[in-house]
Amino acid sequence: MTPHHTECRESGARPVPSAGPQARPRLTVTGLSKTFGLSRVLDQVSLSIMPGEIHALVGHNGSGKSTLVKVLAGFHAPDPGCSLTLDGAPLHVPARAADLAAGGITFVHQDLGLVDSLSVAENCRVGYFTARRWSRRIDWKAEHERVRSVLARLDSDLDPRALVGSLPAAGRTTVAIARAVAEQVPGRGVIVLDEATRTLPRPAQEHLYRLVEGIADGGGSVVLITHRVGEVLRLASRVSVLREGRLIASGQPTTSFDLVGLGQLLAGRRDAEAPGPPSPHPAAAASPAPGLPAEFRPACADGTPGPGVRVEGLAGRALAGISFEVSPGEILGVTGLIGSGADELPALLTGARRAAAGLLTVRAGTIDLSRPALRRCLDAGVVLVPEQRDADGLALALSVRENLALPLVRRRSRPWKVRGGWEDELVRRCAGDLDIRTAAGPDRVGQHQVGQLSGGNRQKILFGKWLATGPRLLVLHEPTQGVDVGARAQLLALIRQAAAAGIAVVLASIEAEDLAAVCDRVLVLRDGRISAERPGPCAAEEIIQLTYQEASR
Amino acid sequence: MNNPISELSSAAPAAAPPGPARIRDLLWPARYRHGFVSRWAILGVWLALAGVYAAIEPRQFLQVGTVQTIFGSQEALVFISLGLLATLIVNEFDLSFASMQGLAATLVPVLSVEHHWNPFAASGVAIAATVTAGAVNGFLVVRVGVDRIVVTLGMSNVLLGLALALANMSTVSGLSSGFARLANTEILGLPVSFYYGLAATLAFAYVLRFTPLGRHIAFVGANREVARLAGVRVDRIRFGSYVVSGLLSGIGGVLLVASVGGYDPTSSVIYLPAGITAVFLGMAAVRPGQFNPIGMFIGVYLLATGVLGLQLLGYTGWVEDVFYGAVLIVAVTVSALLRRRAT
Repeated sequence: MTPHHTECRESGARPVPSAGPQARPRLTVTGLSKTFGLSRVLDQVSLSIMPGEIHALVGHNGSGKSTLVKVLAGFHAPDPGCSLTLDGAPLHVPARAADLAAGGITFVHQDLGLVDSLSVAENCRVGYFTARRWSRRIDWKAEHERVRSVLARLDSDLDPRALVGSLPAAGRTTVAIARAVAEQVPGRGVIVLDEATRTLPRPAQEHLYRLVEGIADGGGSVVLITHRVGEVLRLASRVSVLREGRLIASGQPTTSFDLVGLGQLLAGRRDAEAPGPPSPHPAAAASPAPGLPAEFRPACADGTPGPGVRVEGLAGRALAGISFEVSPGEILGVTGLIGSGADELPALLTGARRAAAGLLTVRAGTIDLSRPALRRCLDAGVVLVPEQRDADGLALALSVRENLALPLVRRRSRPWKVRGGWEDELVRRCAGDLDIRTAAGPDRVGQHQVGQLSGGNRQKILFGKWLATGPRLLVLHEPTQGVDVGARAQLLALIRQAAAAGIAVVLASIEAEDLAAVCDRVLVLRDGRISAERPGPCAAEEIIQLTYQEASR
Repeated sequence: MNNPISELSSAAPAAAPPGPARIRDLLWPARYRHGFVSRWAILGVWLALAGVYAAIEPRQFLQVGTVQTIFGSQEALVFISLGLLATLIVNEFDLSFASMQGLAATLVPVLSVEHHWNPFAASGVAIAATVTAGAVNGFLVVRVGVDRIVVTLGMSNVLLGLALALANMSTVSGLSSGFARLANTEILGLPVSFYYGLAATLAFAYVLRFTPLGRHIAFVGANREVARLAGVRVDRIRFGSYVVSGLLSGIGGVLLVASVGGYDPTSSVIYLPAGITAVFLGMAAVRPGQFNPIGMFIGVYLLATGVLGLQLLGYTGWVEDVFYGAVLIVAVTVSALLRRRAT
């Protein structure tokens, strides 16, 4: 048991409500699966939520959390074979808005989902306005009275007429909760909080926690969907963990977990498929990886370790001026929870978004990142493999060949003609070396529409597209997100090959296993600053601990 | 765990296709076979349309003159549709192309007949005017960030009004026959302007298909953020598309007035639905679900065939509006269905 663990115990996990064995669950979900096209996003998920409990549902991006919420809310129809019950009575599947409202199942969506330009009362009552009998005007006096009484139940004296945009963060959380409980009978119903605390400042989070605890104490049920382990241990009485669409823990009491244990369960112990420990990079740099074609080797890879990449005073929305260096052939891991700045670092570092401040020094010179710097970065060999692969990484409607060739098309072509055979060569090499397999066979890989390929293949194409430019600094943002285990191992091997060829690599990821597998050094960010730096090889447990420990304080 | 590198480099070779399939591949390579029917179905529609007219009105429709009318009268529409296409392929929309054409077609006779300019100099000024209008569109949409529909619709009205004012609300004509030769010189029975349109379409298709610029344009149209992150100057291409739209509309206007000899500014209105219909109809061909110049070119002449046939059957005046509108809806519906099937 770690000291951090004790810490969060002290802040007080809630006991499982004292329900006898005969107690009836408030809400049950049985055999819920959801398939989109060929991919099964949720696989036989079953849950039961008891009255008066706070039930946490945790999982990383892509684990199926948001799909589960959307099925509960009736946005998506589940695959056949699913049943829902509320207080013992079966609910219609797919869920209907009227049934949900009648049963008191309400949702607080990501970032609260409030309309800033409307008043507290309007935000709370939208969808439920009552009109005067004859004039059909909204009866604002009655509305305000109703909202005031709901707010009173939450011990709040907010003015229903105040604009939500003018409220401090704590007030906004109150409005969101008030809206969720407004139509509920006290002590009944279920409130689903879907990543509601994602971007809230800490005092507002505390406020929300208190409100939620109050609801549970009064007999209402709360489903807390989050990826913050500290939040789970502190608030919830039971926890369910989703990973890759499967429930790997269902309704376990939170007392049986500590911070690291839950973090590991969440990230998934994937030792079985993970590649071995990173090779010490100086040795690797001397002998370029045999699998990496010349196309992918940087122009400078002559064996001599050139000067590294230096970053000074990088600041953005969350980042508060951090400095670090990456040497050629080094893989630097950067991690941290949402809001720590780790998630905005890749875009700022590569000039994809303008930084508030920051200087990037590469061999070609120093680039001021607080000015439009994207093209200078690209010219200097600083490239980004973005997180949102399908939105920012690849044009899904275009072919594999076109996508792979895009960054090189001007450099490698004459102005009046693209095809010089190099494209075919590029496609052939990428298909072979990155192991891109398609139904049409290796000869026709280039003509495939990217949108028809699997996530793993798409990610490889995105890799190949940027590796082919011969970068000096390769910045990867969540590179293994949404790919299967086999593709993940290949991608990690590719990252190591790229580093072995002399590229400086920055790997920004929340996946501790990935960082542990390939990084030579790991930076952990918190509140926009570097809170810890660990030389590799670094154990996944340690990275998880350093990451999550910060959040639970 | 075995070495991932060796695993990566050992991609299995493809199994060779059996004998007869191989011969078929040689004669008709798979990449042309794939989707052949949906690519060229529009030609079938065109032939069927012509066949129906020929069956109903063989004496009037089956004549050399009919072919000449269809192929000799649409060059302006080809140019302005290309201009519209230039904006649509980068996910922009220029609704002012018809009015830009109208302005150019008004300026030429006004300057050369009423102010005794050299008609070629007048053409240059007319095209410069439409290019300027296109640049203003581009500036407001791309730089300032105003909604493109609002900007170009407003521009369309402004230019239409200007053209009416220049022409004193009436038809201006009286261009010299020397100037008319620019458009009407016959080659193989068709006016030279048909070949201008054909050449412009092929050049446009070449740029899109084979040049780095075309590749960049495709990415700006498909996913702006991907293009930007790859270093493509997205805003420059978007701005350029409005300028090109102005340029091509101006050329269309000059050719139109050269072949006809005069212009009535109020007739600009009909070119708006015609151009939009041709471009969207073109989406159903060659590269199904995507805007493309060759499909658009076929679309223009399919429309001309349809309208002429209806006129020969005795429907005049209103029929163009109904026909363009109906075909536009059908074309967009078909391409929406094609696109849905593709994803």
